[in-house]
Amino acid sequence: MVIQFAERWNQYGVIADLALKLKDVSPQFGKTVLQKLVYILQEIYNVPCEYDYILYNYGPYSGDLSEDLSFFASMGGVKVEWSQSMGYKILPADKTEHFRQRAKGFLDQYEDKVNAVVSNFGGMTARDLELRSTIIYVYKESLRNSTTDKNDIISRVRDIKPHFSLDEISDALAQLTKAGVVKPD
Amino acid sequence: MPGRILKSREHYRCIYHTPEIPDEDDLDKASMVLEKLTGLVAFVDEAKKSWYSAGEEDIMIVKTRDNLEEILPLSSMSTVVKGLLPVRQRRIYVPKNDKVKAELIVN
Repeated sequence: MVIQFAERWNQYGVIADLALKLKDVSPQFGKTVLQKLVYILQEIYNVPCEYDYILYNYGPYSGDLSEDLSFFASMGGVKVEWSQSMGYKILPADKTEHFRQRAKGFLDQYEDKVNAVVSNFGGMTARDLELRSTIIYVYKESLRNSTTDKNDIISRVRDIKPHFSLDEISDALAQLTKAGVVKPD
Repeated sequence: MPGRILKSREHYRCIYHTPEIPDEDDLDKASMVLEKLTGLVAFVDEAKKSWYSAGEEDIMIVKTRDNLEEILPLSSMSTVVKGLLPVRQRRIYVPKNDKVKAELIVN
């Protein structure tokens, strides 16, 4: 039996890295955007962040990631500030770079993938990411059921997210397909 | 075995623990103590509890100001709720017979 503590320095490192890289890129890097970007990192780019996701109010959501963010902020890893106009914002703090260095080995290994996520998804709003991450979630679910029909995916996403129009869902799916993120039939 | 040590009150003893909400130094110290006690430790415990989840599970509150309604997360309105940080306590346990030896090493 291995007796050790499972500290989450790599996960904190990912949050720190995203906070620094998205500072002038993301229109609203907050709790929802963090959830969706880490989901995409993990599910599409295979970065082993080790979070379990469920489908929640704004798409895929991990309670553990939410707690990691609160705890990381309590250690001074990031600042989580409330803004009346934008909701919660995640900002770099005094120790953000320190924690990024602490996870350097992990971040170096997956640097290209994190940069790809920042480049492809970092400029999106929480609403954009809510839709795209839900499409990815439904697509992954379809893969497990061996039925990746494009129209079925659109219909299922529309059932889950009725506040998005069919055109919005269809356009987002086409964009994700073009980028090679999903490959529906 | 676990039943017997409980019945005879020889259950494992906590030899070291961090605060409920540790900081980075506390976590590093717990890892260092664990390393020092290699061979003596029976098990380690990572208490994880969240009194309130301020993510998407946050409770949304309708607030009326100047006859306009807005919906805000409770954690943004209450400093008490905002201060409910997740518990991440680390505890290290050794067999009763090794407690004194372990204390000498830790202290």
